[in-house]
Amino acid sequence: MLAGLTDAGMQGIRLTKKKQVIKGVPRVTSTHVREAYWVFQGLSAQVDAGDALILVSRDPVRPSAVLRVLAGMLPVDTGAVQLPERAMLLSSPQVKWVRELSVEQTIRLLSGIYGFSDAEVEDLVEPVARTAEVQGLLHRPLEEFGKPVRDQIAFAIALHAPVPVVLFDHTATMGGGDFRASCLDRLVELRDAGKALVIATDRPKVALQVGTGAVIVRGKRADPVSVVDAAEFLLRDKGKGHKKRRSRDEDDEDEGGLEF
Amino acid sequence: MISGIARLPSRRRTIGIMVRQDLKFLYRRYRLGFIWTLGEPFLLAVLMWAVFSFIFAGGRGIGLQPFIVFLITGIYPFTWLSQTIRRSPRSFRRFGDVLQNSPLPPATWPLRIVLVGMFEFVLSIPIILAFIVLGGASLTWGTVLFPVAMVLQFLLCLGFALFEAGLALRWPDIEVFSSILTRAFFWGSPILWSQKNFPEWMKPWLYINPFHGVLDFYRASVWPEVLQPWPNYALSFGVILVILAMGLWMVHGSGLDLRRRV
Repeated sequence: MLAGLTDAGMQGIRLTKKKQVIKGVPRVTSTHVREAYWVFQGLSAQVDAGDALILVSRDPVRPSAVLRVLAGMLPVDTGAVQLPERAMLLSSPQVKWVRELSVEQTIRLLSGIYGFSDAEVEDLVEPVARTAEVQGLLHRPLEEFGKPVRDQIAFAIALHAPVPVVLFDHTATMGGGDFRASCLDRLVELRDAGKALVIATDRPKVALQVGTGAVIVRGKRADPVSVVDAAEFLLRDKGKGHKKRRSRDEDDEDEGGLEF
Repeated sequence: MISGIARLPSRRRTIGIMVRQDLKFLYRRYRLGFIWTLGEPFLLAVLMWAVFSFIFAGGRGIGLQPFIVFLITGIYPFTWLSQTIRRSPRSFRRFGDVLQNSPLPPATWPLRIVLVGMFEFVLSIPIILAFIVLGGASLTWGTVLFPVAMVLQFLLCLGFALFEAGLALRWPDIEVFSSILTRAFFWGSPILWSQKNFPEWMKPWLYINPFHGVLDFYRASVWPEVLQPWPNYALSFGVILVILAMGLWMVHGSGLDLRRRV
Protein backbone atom coordinates (compact mmCIF):
# COMPACT_ATOMS: atom_id res chain seq x y z
CA MET A 1 0.00 0.00 0.00
CA LEU A 2 1.42 3.38 -0.99
CA ALA A 3 -1.01 5.47 1.02
CA GLY A 4 -4.22 5.03 2.91
CA LEU A 5 -6.62 6.02 5.64
CA THR A 6 -8.21 3.80 8.26
CA ASP A 7 -11.46 4.92 9.87
CA ALA A 8 -10.22 8.48 9.56
CA GLY A 9 -12.19 11.56 10.51
CA MET A 10 -11.51 15.25 10.47
CA GLN A 11 -13.33 18.15 12.04
CA GLY A 12 -13.59 21.63 10.61
CA ILE A 13 -15.00 24.93 11.71
CA ARG A 14 -17.68 26.70 9.77
CA LEU A 15 -19.31 30.05 10.18
CA THR A 16 -23.09 30.04 10.10
CA LYS A 17 -25.45 32.95 10.36
CA LYS A 18 -27.11 33.15 13.70
CA LYS A 19 -30.89 32.80 13.63
CA GLN A 20 -32.95 34.83 16.03
CA VAL A 21 -36.65 34.93 16.62
CA ILE A 22 -37.78 38.51 17.06
CA LYS A 23 -41.44 38.98 17.92
CA GLY A 24 -42.23 35.53 16.65
CA VAL A 25 -40.53 36.09 13.28
CA PRO A 26 -37.35 34.10 12.61
CA ARG A 27 -34.61 36.32 11.21
CA VAL A 28 -31.09 35.75 10.06
CA THR A 29 -28.89 38.25 11.77
CA SER A 30 -25.51 39.44 10.64
CA THR A 31 -23.85 37.75 13.59
CA HIS A 32 -22.01 34.56 12.75
CA VAL A 33 -21.35 31.65 15.03
CA ARG A 34 -18.44 29.30 14.71
CA GLU A 35 -19.42 25.69 14.92
CA ALA A 36 -17.44 22.51 14.61
CA TYR A 37 -18.56 19.92 12.07
CA TRP A 38 -17.25 16.66 10.66
CA VAL A 39 -15.66 17.23 7.28
CA PHE A 40 -15.47 13.46 6.90
CA GLN A 41 -15.78 10.52 9.21
CA GLY A 42 -15.14 6.79 9.11
CA LEU A 43 -13.13 7.00 5.92
CA SER A 44 -11.11 3.92 5.01
CA ALA A 45 -9.39 3.74 1.67
CA GLN A 46 -6.04 2.84 0.24
CA VAL A 47 -4.13 3.21 -2.98
CA ASP A 48 -1.37 1.20 -4.52
CA ALA A 49 0.71 1.62 -7.64
CA GLY A 50 -1.57 1.61 -10.69
CA ASP A 51 -4.70 2.51 -8.69
CA ALA A 52 -6.89 5.53 -9.32
CA LEU A 53 -9.13 6.25 -6.36
CA ILE A 54 -12.04 8.59 -7.07
CA LEU A 55 -13.41 10.77 -4.28
CA VAL A 56 -16.87 12.24 -4.76
CA SER A 57 -19.12 14.27 -2.54
CA ARG A 58 -21.90 16.82 -2.64
CA ASP A 59 -19.63 19.32 -0.98
CA PRO A 60 -16.30 19.73 -2.82
CA VAL A 61 -14.58 20.78 0.41
CA ARG A 62 -14.82 17.25 1.82
CA PRO A 63 -12.75 15.35 -0.80
CA SER A 64 -10.35 18.29 -0.98
CA ALA A 65 -9.71 17.88 2.74
CA VAL A 66 -9.04 14.15 2.26
CA LEU A 67 -6.45 15.00 -0.39
CA ARG A 68 -4.74 17.45 1.94
CA VAL A 69 -4.58 14.78 4.62
CA LEU A 70 -2.94 12.38 2.16
CA ALA A 71 -0.52 15.13 1.13
CA GLY A 72 0.51 15.48 4.79
CA MET A 73 -0.75 19.05 4.94
CA LEU A 74 -3.63 18.50 7.36
CA PRO A 75 -3.90 16.11 10.31
CA VAL A 76 -6.86 13.83 11.04
CA ASP A 77 -8.73 14.02 14.32
CA THR A 78 -9.66 10.35 14.47
CA GLY A 79 -8.38 7.15 12.87
CA ALA A 80 -5.03 6.57 11.20
CA VAL A 81 -3.30 7.70 8.04
CA GLN A 82 -0.49 6.10 6.14
CA LEU A 83 1.15 8.94 4.30
CA PRO A 84 2.84 8.21 1.00
CA GLU A 85 6.60 8.50 0.86
CA ARG A 86 6.02 11.53 -1.31
CA ALA A 87 2.98 12.97 -3.05
CA MET A 88 2.04 15.93 -5.19
CA LEU A 89 -1.26 17.72 -4.72
CA LEU A 90 -2.43 19.37 -7.92
CA SER A 91 -4.78 22.21 -7.14
CA SER A 92 -5.88 24.80 -9.65
CA PRO A 93 -3.24 27.57 -9.78
CA GLN A 94 -4.64 31.00 -9.07
CA VAL A 95 -3.75 34.01 -11.16
CA LYS A 96 -2.04 35.82 -8.30
CA TRP A 97 0.33 32.92 -7.67
CA VAL A 98 2.08 33.55 -10.96
CA ARG A 99 1.45 37.20 -11.79
CA GLU A 100 4.29 39.22 -13.31
CA LEU A 101 6.09 36.08 -14.51
CA SER A 102 7.23 34.70 -17.84
CA VAL A 103 6.08 31.26 -18.96
CA GLU A 104 9.38 29.70 -17.89
CA GLN A 105 9.29 31.38 -14.49
CA THR A 106 5.73 30.12 -14.12
CA ILE A 107 6.88 26.54 -14.69
CA ARG A 108 9.62 27.03 -12.12
CA LEU A 109 7.45 28.74 -9.52
CA LEU A 110 4.50 26.38 -9.84
CA SER A 111 6.83 23.39 -9.58
CA GLY A 112 8.29 24.96 -6.44
CA ILE A 113 4.85 25.66 -5.00
CA TYR A 114 3.83 22.06 -5.65
CA GLY A 115 6.75 21.02 -3.50
CA PHE A 116 9.74 20.30 -5.72
CA SER A 117 13.28 21.29 -4.89
CA ASP A 118 15.36 23.54 -7.15
CA ALA A 119 17.22 20.53 -8.55
CA GLU A 120 13.95 18.74 -9.38
CA VAL A 121 12.51 21.89 -10.91
CA GLU A 122 15.52 22.12 -13.20
CA ASP A 123 14.74 18.64 -14.53
CA LEU A 124 11.04 19.44 -14.91
CA VAL A 125 11.27 22.61 -17.02
CA GLU A 126 11.91 21.04 -20.40
CA PRO A 127 9.44 18.09 -20.27
CA VAL A 128 6.74 20.28 -18.71
CA ALA A 129 7.17 22.92 -21.41
CA ARG A 130 6.87 20.22 -24.07
CA THR A 131 3.77 18.61 -22.54
CA ALA A 132 2.12 21.95 -21.81
CA GLU A 133 2.77 22.97 -25.44
CA VAL A 134 4.60 26.16 -24.47
CA GLN A 135 8.09 25.33 -25.75
CA GLY A 136 8.38 28.36 -28.01
CA LEU A 137 6.83 30.73 -25.49
CA LEU A 138 9.14 30.34 -22.53
CA HIS A 139 10.28 33.97 -22.40
CA ARG A 140 6.90 35.54 -23.09
CA PRO A 141 4.82 36.97 -20.22
CA LEU A 142 2.24 34.49 -18.99
CA GLU A 143 -0.37 37.26 -18.90
CA GLU A 144 -0.53 37.07 -22.70
CA PHE A 145 -1.97 33.56 -22.52
CA GLY A 146 -4.07 33.48 -19.36
CA LYS A 147 -5.73 30.62 -17.54
CA PRO A 148 -5.58 27.83 -20.15
CA VAL A 149 -1.79 27.95 -20.39
CA ARG A 150 -1.42 28.33 -16.63
CA ASP A 151 -3.56 25.24 -16.15
CA GLN A 152 -1.73 23.30 -18.87
CA ILE A 153 1.55 23.99 -17.11
CA ALA A 154 0.16 22.84 -13.77
CA PHE A 155 -1.26 19.66 -15.27
CA ALA A 156 1.99 18.93 -17.08
CA ILE A 157 3.90 19.26 -13.80
CA ALA A 158 1.61 16.60 -12.31
CA LEU A 159 2.25 14.31 -15.27
CA HIS A 160 6.03 14.59 -14.89
CA ALA A 161 6.18 14.81 -11.10
CA PRO A 162 8.86 12.51 -9.64
CA VAL A 163 6.49 11.15 -6.97
CA PRO A 164 4.68 7.82 -6.62
CA VAL A 165 1.32 9.36 -5.65
CA VAL A 166 -0.44 12.25 -7.40
CA LEU A 167 -3.52 13.88 -5.89
CA PHE A 168 -5.90 15.81 -8.13
CA ASP A 169 -8.12 18.36 -6.41
CA HIS A 170 -10.92 18.80 -8.96
CA THR A 171 -8.19 19.14 -11.58
CA ALA A 172 -8.56 15.95 -13.63
CA THR A 173 -9.18 18.02 -16.73
CA MET A 174 -7.51 21.38 -17.21
CA GLY A 175 -6.30 23.72 -19.91
CA GLY A 176 -7.82 24.75 -23.17
CA GLY A 177 -9.40 22.94 -26.14
CA ASP A 178 -7.51 19.89 -27.31
CA PHE A 179 -5.32 19.79 -24.22
CA ARG A 180 -8.34 19.54 -21.95
CA ALA A 181 -9.85 16.85 -24.14
CA SER A 182 -6.70 14.75 -23.84
CA CYS A 183 -6.37 15.02 -20.04
CA LEU A 184 -8.27 11.86 -19.17
CA ASP A 185 -6.29 9.74 -21.64
CA ARG A 186 -3.11 11.12 -20.11
CA LEU A 187 -4.34 10.22 -16.64
CA VAL A 188 -5.05 6.68 -17.78
CA GLU A 189 -1.50 6.49 -19.19
CA LEU A 190 -0.13 7.82 -15.93
CA ARG A 191 -2.11 5.25 -13.93
CA ASP A 192 -1.05 2.42 -16.22
CA ALA A 193 2.58 3.53 -15.88
CA GLY A 194 2.34 2.63 -12.19
CA LYS A 195 1.52 5.91 -10.50
CA ALA A 196 -1.12 5.91 -7.78
CA LEU A 197 -3.77 8.58 -8.39
CA VAL A 198 -6.33 9.98 -6.00
CA ILE A 199 -8.82 12.19 -7.80
CA ALA A 200 -11.45 14.43 -6.25
CA THR A 201 -13.98 15.14 -8.96
CA ASP A 202 -17.57 16.07 -9.66
CA ARG A 203 -17.51 14.74 -13.23
CA PRO A 204 -18.93 11.26 -13.81
CA LYS A 205 -16.75 10.82 -16.90
CA VAL A 206 -13.58 11.09 -14.83
CA ALA A 207 -14.78 8.37 -12.47
CA LEU A 208 -15.77 6.04 -15.29
CA GLN A 209 -12.73 6.55 -17.51
CA VAL A 210 -9.89 6.76 -14.99
CA GLY A 211 -11.10 5.32 -11.69
CA THR A 212 -10.36 1.86 -10.35
CA GLY A 213 -12.23 2.44 -7.09
CA ALA A 214 -14.27 5.18 -5.47
CA VAL A 215 -15.41 6.59 -2.17
CA ILE A 216 -18.39 8.82 -1.46
CA VAL A 217 -17.17 11.24 1.20
CA ARG A 218 -19.78 12.43 3.63
CA GLY A 219 -19.79 14.17 6.97
CA LYS A 220 -21.33 11.21 8.77
CA ARG A 221 -19.65 8.30 7.02
CA ALA A 222 -17.71 7.51 3.89
CA ASP A 223 -18.78 4.64 1.68
CA PRO A 224 -16.45 2.74 -0.63
CA VAL A 225 -18.35 2.18 -3.88
CA SER A 226 -17.65 1.10 -7.43
CA VAL A 227 -16.75 3.74 -9.99
CA VAL A 228 -20.11 3.17 -11.66
CA ASP A 229 -21.93 3.91 -8.41
CA ALA A 230 -19.77 7.00 -7.92
CA ALA A 231 -20.66 8.19 -11.42
CA GLU A 232 -24.34 7.55 -10.74
CA PHE A 233 -24.06 9.46 -7.48
CA LEU A 234 -22.64 12.41 -9.36
CA LEU A 235 -25.28 12.25 -12.08
CA ARG A 236 -28.08 11.93 -9.54
CA ASP A 237 -26.67 14.74 -7.51
CA LYS A 238 -25.90 17.11 -10.31
CA GLY A 239 -26.95 20.60 -9.39
CA LYS A 240 -28.16 19.68 -5.93
CA GLY A 241 -25.37 20.41 -3.63
CA HIS A 242 -22.31 21.32 -5.61
CA LYS A 243 -21.08 24.66 -4.55
CA LYS A 244 -18.76 26.76 -6.55
CA ARG A 245 -15.57 27.39 -4.72
CA ARG A 246 -15.12 30.89 -3.61
CA SER A 247 -12.02 32.48 -4.98
CA ARG A 248 -10.51 34.92 -2.61
CA ASP A 249 -10.29 38.39 -3.85
CA GLU A 250 -6.85 39.76 -4.09
CA ASP A 251 -5.93 41.53 -0.97
CA ASP A 252 -5.27 45.16 -1.11
CA GLU A 253 -1.54 45.35 -1.07
CA ASP A 254 -1.18 48.99 -0.38
CA GLU A 255 1.55 48.54 2.11
CA GLY A 256 3.99 51.18 1.08
CA GLY A 257 4.79 54.19 3.13
CA LEU A 258 6.93 54.78 6.12
CA GLU A 259 5.48 55.38 9.53
CA PHE A 260 7.21 57.05 12.35
CA MET B 1 9.85 22.49 13.01
CA ILE B 2 13.51 22.25 12.08
CA SER B 3 12.90 19.89 9.14
CA GLY B 4 10.50 22.41 7.59
CA ILE B 5 13.05 25.21 7.85
CA ALA B 6 15.87 22.94 6.71
CA ARG B 7 14.07 22.37 3.41
CA LEU B 8 14.15 26.07 2.56
CA PRO B 9 17.74 26.32 1.26
CA SER B 10 16.98 23.70 -1.41
CA ARG B 11 14.08 25.91 -2.54
CA ARG B 12 16.04 29.16 -2.78
CA ARG B 13 15.45 29.64 -6.51
CA THR B 14 11.71 29.26 -6.02
CA ILE B 15 11.84 31.78 -3.18
CA GLY B 16 13.95 34.05 -5.40
CA ILE B 17 11.22 34.03 -8.07
CA MET B 18 8.63 34.85 -5.40
CA VAL B 19 10.68 37.83 -4.19
CA ARG B 20 11.16 39.13 -7.74
CA GLN B 21 7.45 38.73 -8.33
CA ASP B 22 6.59 40.69 -5.18
CA LEU B 23 8.97 43.51 -6.06
CA LYS B 24 7.49 43.85 -9.54
CA PHE B 25 3.97 43.78 -8.21
CA LEU B 26 4.58 46.27 -5.41
CA TYR B 27 5.82 49.01 -7.68
CA ARG B 28 4.03 48.40 -10.95
CA ARG B 29 1.21 50.84 -10.16
CA TYR B 30 3.54 53.83 -9.79
CA ARG B 31 4.90 55.87 -12.68
CA LEU B 32 8.34 55.95 -11.09
CA GLY B 33 8.00 52.30 -10.19
CA PHE B 34 10.89 50.81 -8.30
CA ILE B 35 12.55 54.19 -7.76
CA TRP B 36 10.14 54.77 -4.88
CA THR B 37 11.66 52.01 -2.84
CA LEU B 38 14.77 54.18 -2.54
CA GLY B 39 13.16 57.55 -3.03
CA GLU B 40 10.70 57.40 -0.17
CA PRO B 41 13.22 56.89 2.66
CA PHE B 42 15.55 59.34 0.93
CA LEU B 43 12.92 62.08 0.89
CA LEU B 44 12.02 61.31 4.48
CA ALA B 45 15.66 61.66 5.51
CA VAL B 46 15.98 64.96 3.68
CA LEU B 47 12.80 66.19 5.34
CA MET B 48 14.05 65.20 8.79
CA TRP B 49 17.40 66.78 8.08
CA ALA B 50 15.74 70.05 7.02
CA VAL B 51 13.45 70.08 10.04
CA PHE B 52 16.14 69.35 12.60
CA SER B 53 18.95 71.35 11.00
CA PHE B 54 17.10 74.53 10.06
CA ILE B 55 13.75 74.76 11.79
CA PHE B 56 14.81 73.45 15.21
CA ALA B 57 18.48 74.16 14.55
CA GLY B 58 19.10 71.22 16.83
CA GLY B 59 20.58 68.66 14.51
CA ARG B 60 23.91 69.15 16.19
CA GLY B 61 22.51 68.29 19.57
CA ILE B 62 20.64 65.07 18.95
CA GLY B 63 22.66 63.16 16.39
CA LEU B 64 26.20 62.84 15.11
CA GLN B 65 27.73 64.98 12.38
CA PRO B 66 27.27 65.14 9.44
CA PHE B 67 23.63 64.88 10.46
CA ILE B 68 22.27 63.99 7.01
CA VAL B 69 24.63 60.98 6.90
CA PHE B 70 23.55 60.06 10.42
CA LEU B 71 19.92 60.12 9.30
CA ILE B 72 20.48 58.21 6.08
CA THR B 73 22.37 55.42 7.86
CA GLY B 74 19.43 55.07 10.24
CA ILE B 75 16.42 55.51 7.99
CA TYR B 76 17.24 52.93 5.31
CA PRO B 77 17.69 50.07 7.82
CA PHE B 78 14.57 51.29 9.60
CA THR B 79 12.64 51.10 6.33
CA TRP B 80 13.46 47.41 6.07
CA LEU B 81 12.31 46.78 9.65
CA SER B 82 9.23 48.97 9.29
CA GLN B 83 8.02 47.35 6.06
CA THR B 84 8.52 43.90 7.57
CA ILE B 85 6.56 44.73 10.71
CA ARG B 86 3.72 46.30 8.75
CA ARG B 87 3.39 43.67 6.02
CA SER B 88 3.84 40.54 8.13
CA PRO B 89 0.45 40.30 9.89
CA ARG B 90 -1.15 39.93 6.47
CA SER B 91 1.27 37.39 5.08
CA PHE B 92 -0.74 34.22 5.76
CA ARG B 93 -3.97 35.89 4.71
CA ARG B 94 -2.41 37.28 1.56
CA PHE B 95 -0.81 33.99 0.57
CA GLY B 96 -3.46 31.85 2.29
CA ASP B 97 -4.63 29.96 -0.77
CA VAL B 98 -1.07 29.05 -1.73
CA LEU B 99 -0.36 27.95 1.82
CA GLN B 100 -3.39 25.65 1.73
CA ASN B 101 -2.25 24.06 -1.49
CA SER B 102 1.50 23.88 -1.13
CA PRO B 103 3.72 21.65 0.97
CA LEU B 104 6.27 24.46 1.28
CA PRO B 105 6.96 25.23 4.95
CA PRO B 106 4.68 28.01 6.30
CA ALA B 107 7.78 30.05 7.18
CA THR B 108 8.25 30.60 3.43
CA TRP B 109 5.63 33.34 3.30
CA PRO B 110 6.94 35.57 6.13
CA LEU B 111 10.46 34.92 4.83
CA ARG B 112 9.37 36.21 1.44
CA ILE B 113 8.39 39.54 3.01
CA VAL B 114 11.69 39.83 4.87
CA LEU B 115 13.67 39.12 1.70
CA VAL B 116 11.78 41.78 -0.26
CA GLY B 117 12.78 44.31 2.42
CA MET B 118 16.35 43.07 2.41
CA PHE B 119 16.61 43.39 -1.34
CA GLU B 120 15.35 46.97 -1.17
CA PHE B 121 17.91 47.70 1.54
CA VAL B 122 20.76 46.23 -0.49
CA LEU B 123 19.77 48.50 -3.37
CA SER B 124 19.95 51.49 -1.03
CA ILE B 125 23.59 50.83 -0.06
CA PRO B 126 25.02 52.86 -3.01
CA ILE B 127 22.85 55.79 -1.91
CA ILE B 128 24.17 55.50 1.64
CA LEU B 129 27.73 55.42 0.27
CA ALA B 130 27.03 58.45 -1.93
CA PHE B 131 25.80 60.41 1.08
CA ILE B 132 28.84 59.40 3.13
CA VAL B 133 31.09 60.77 0.39
CA LEU B 134 29.00 63.89 -0.37
CA GLY B 135 28.46 64.58 3.32
CA GLY B 136 32.21 64.79 3.88
CA ALA B 137 32.42 61.67 6.03
CA SER B 138 34.61 58.66 5.37
CA LEU B 139 34.48 54.94 5.92
CA THR B 140 36.40 53.48 8.85
CA TRP B 141 37.47 50.03 10.04
CA GLY B 142 33.93 49.70 11.47
CA THR B 143 32.67 48.97 7.94
CA VAL B 144 33.50 45.31 8.61
CA LEU B 145 30.53 45.31 10.99
CA PHE B 146 28.08 46.33 8.22
CA PRO B 147 27.47 42.74 7.00
CA VAL B 148 27.18 41.60 10.61
CA ALA B 149 24.47 44.23 11.10
CA MET B 150 22.66 42.95 8.02
CA VAL B 151 22.68 39.38 9.31
CA LEU B 152 21.42 40.52 12.71
CA GLN B 153 18.70 42.62 11.13
CA PHE B 154 17.67 39.72 8.89
CA LEU B 155 17.23 37.52 11.96
CA LEU B 156 15.33 40.28 13.78
CA CYS B 157 13.01 40.89 10.82
CA LEU B 158 12.45 37.16 10.32
CA GLY B 159 11.58 36.76 13.99
CA PHE B 160 9.06 39.60 13.84
CA ALA B 161 7.63 38.40 10.54
CA LEU B 162 7.07 34.85 11.79
CA PHE B 163 5.68 35.97 15.12
CA GLU B 164 3.27 38.51 13.69
CA ALA B 165 2.13 36.25 10.85
CA GLY B 166 1.35 33.41 13.26
CA LEU B 167 -0.23 35.68 15.85
CA ALA B 168 -2.46 37.38 13.27
CA LEU B 169 -4.31 34.09 12.73
CA ARG B 170 -5.33 34.05 16.38
CA TRP B 171 -5.50 37.75 17.05
CA PRO B 172 -6.08 39.81 13.89
CA ASP B 173 -5.76 43.04 15.90
CA ILE B 174 -2.00 42.64 15.65
CA GLU B 175 -2.36 44.41 12.31
CA VAL B 176 -3.29 47.63 14.12
CA PHE B 177 -0.71 47.02 16.80
CA SER B 178 2.03 46.62 14.18
CA SER B 179 1.57 50.23 13.20
CA ILE B 180 2.16 51.30 16.80
CA LEU B 181 5.15 48.97 17.05
CA THR B 182 6.68 50.61 13.98
CA ARG B 183 6.34 54.03 15.58
CA ALA B 184 7.81 52.70 18.82
CA PHE B 185 10.87 51.48 16.92
CA PHE B 186 11.25 54.78 15.11
CA TRP B 187 11.22 56.93 18.22
CA GLY B 188 12.79 54.32 20.51
CA SER B 189 15.81 53.63 18.32
CA PRO B 190 18.75 55.94 17.63
CA ILE B 191 17.51 57.01 14.20
CA LEU B 192 17.10 60.70 14.99
CA TRP B 193 18.93 60.79 18.27
CA SER B 194 22.21 59.49 19.53
CA GLN B 195 22.87 57.70 22.79
CA LYS B 196 25.36 60.43 23.73
CA ASN B 197 22.40 62.31 25.21
CA PHE B 198 21.77 59.60 27.79
CA PRO B 199 23.53 59.17 31.16
CA GLU B 200 26.12 56.37 31.32
CA TRP B 201 24.09 54.17 33.69
CA MET B 202 21.18 54.16 31.28
CA LYS B 203 23.05 53.20 28.12
CA PRO B 204 23.16 49.42 28.65
CA TRP B 205 19.38 49.39 29.10
CA LEU B 206 18.87 50.99 25.70
CA TYR B 207 20.09 47.75 24.14
CA ILE B 208 17.00 45.87 25.24
CA ASN B 209 15.74 47.35 22.00
CA PRO B 210 17.52 44.93 19.63
CA PHE B 211 17.45 47.42 16.76
CA HIS B 212 19.71 49.70 18.80
CA GLY B 213 22.57 47.21 18.61
CA VAL B 214 21.95 46.66 14.90
CA LEU B 215 22.07 50.40 14.14
CA ASP B 216 25.33 50.80 16.08
CA PHE B 217 26.94 48.19 13.84
CA TYR B 218 25.74 49.99 10.70
CA ARG B 219 26.92 53.36 11.96
CA ALA B 220 30.28 52.06 13.07
CA SER B 221 31.15 52.29 9.37
CA VAL B 222 31.41 56.07 9.83
CA TRP B 223 31.49 56.56 13.60
CA PRO B 224 33.33 53.69 15.30
CA GLU B 225 33.07 55.65 18.56
CA VAL B 226 29.37 54.73 18.81
CA LEU B 227 30.37 51.18 19.70
CA GLN B 228 29.71 50.27 23.31
CA PRO B 229 31.05 47.45 25.49
CA TRP B 230 30.24 44.02 24.02
CA PRO B 231 27.74 42.96 26.74
CA ASN B 232 25.37 45.59 25.33
CA TYR B 233 25.44 43.86 21.96
CA ALA B 234 25.13 40.47 23.60
CA LEU B 235 21.92 41.77 25.13
CA SER B 236 20.60 42.99 21.76
CA PHE B 237 21.58 39.70 20.11
CA GLY B 238 19.92 37.75 22.91
CA VAL B 239 16.67 39.66 22.40
CA ILE B 240 16.87 38.99 18.64
CA LEU B 241 17.24 35.26 19.33
CA VAL B 242 14.29 35.31 21.72
CA ILE B 243 12.10 37.06 19.11
CA LEU B 244 13.23 34.58 16.45
CA ALA B 245 12.53 31.60 18.72
CA MET B 246 9.08 32.98 19.54
CA GLY B 247 8.40 33.47 15.84
CA LEU B 248 9.42 29.91 14.97
CA TRP B 249 7.33 28.57 17.81
CA MET B 250 4.34 30.65 16.74
CA VAL B 251 4.43 29.32 13.17
CA HIS B 252 5.78 25.80 13.53
CA GLY B 253 5.66 24.72 17.12
CA SER B 254 2.54 26.07 18.79
CA GLY B 255 0.28 23.32 17.53
CA LEU B 256 -1.59 26.02 15.67
CA ASP B 257 -2.92 24.37 12.55
CA LEU B 258 -2.16 27.15 10.11
CA ARG B 259 -3.71 25.54 7.05
CA ARG B 260 -7.03 25.10 8.83
CA ARG B 261 -7.05 28.70 10.00
CA VAL B 262 -6.13 30.71 6.93
